[in-house]
Amino acid sequence: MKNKADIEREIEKTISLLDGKNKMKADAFFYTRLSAKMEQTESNFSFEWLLTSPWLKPLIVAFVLFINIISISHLIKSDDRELTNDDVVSLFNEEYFMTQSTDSYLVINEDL
Amino acid sequence: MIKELKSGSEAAFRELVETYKNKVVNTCFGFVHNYEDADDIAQEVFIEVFKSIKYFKEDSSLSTWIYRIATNKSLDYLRKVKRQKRWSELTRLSLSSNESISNLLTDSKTPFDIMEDKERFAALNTAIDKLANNQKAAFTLHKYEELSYKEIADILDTSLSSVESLIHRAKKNLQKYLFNYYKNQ
Repeated sequence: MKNKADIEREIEKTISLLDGKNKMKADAFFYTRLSAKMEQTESNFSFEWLLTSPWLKPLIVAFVLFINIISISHLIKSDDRELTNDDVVSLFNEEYFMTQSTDSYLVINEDL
Repeated sequence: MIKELKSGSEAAFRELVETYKNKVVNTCFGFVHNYEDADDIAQEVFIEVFKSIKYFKEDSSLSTWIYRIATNKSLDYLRKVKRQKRWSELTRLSLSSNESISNLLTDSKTPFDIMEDKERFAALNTAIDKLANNQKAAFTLHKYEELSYKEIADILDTSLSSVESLIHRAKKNLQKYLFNYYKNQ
């Protein structure tokens, strides 16, 4: 559609659609559904206020930052300490239960 | 009635809902162009009315106050959808809008007229969606609820001349958007 007069006529028709239109209506059970929704909202305890509360937001952010800083500093400190050979051997023993005595196996073998 | 509402009377609240439900659903529909979403927003409007009636100062009429809540809730919903910009949401909106449009069309039309009107409504709704929020609010309240400029000025808490200007600019912008739409057809 390229003709300006035609386009203007179309625009006029389109906008005038709103003048004679039907109105939307709520259905007959609107109040029933509304009261059910309200009851449901009342019975559900919500933590939403915790997130929307303006004074609590900075406190939560500060707490999370504090936990992060503590964790990071703890991690840095633990990285600083180098493991000695003895530490490595004892960790290896603990991991593979090598601290347990093997005497019992020897006793069993003797019986045979 | 307001006194009874403030005292928490369920009967008064029911009466209020029955009185205003059609107006609220129709207003919300004017903004979102989808019946299911308009119905959901209308429920949120009445929940807000129930919660906030104790703070209602009666410096405006009850009707103005309810229309104001409906307008704000609808614009909030549109902002939320725009923010999310989820493809699924947009698809759902456009699909069910087409079904909702059928309810707006006046009776005694041929199938061809109905099809043509549906296309016109779809183009018009797309154009309305592009309007700035204050123009959209003024235009929708005027065209969908047939409110006077004075009533719209009260709802939007602005002057009569501002409403006249908003509606004038809204019409100009709609003509511009629709001109581009029909030019490219």
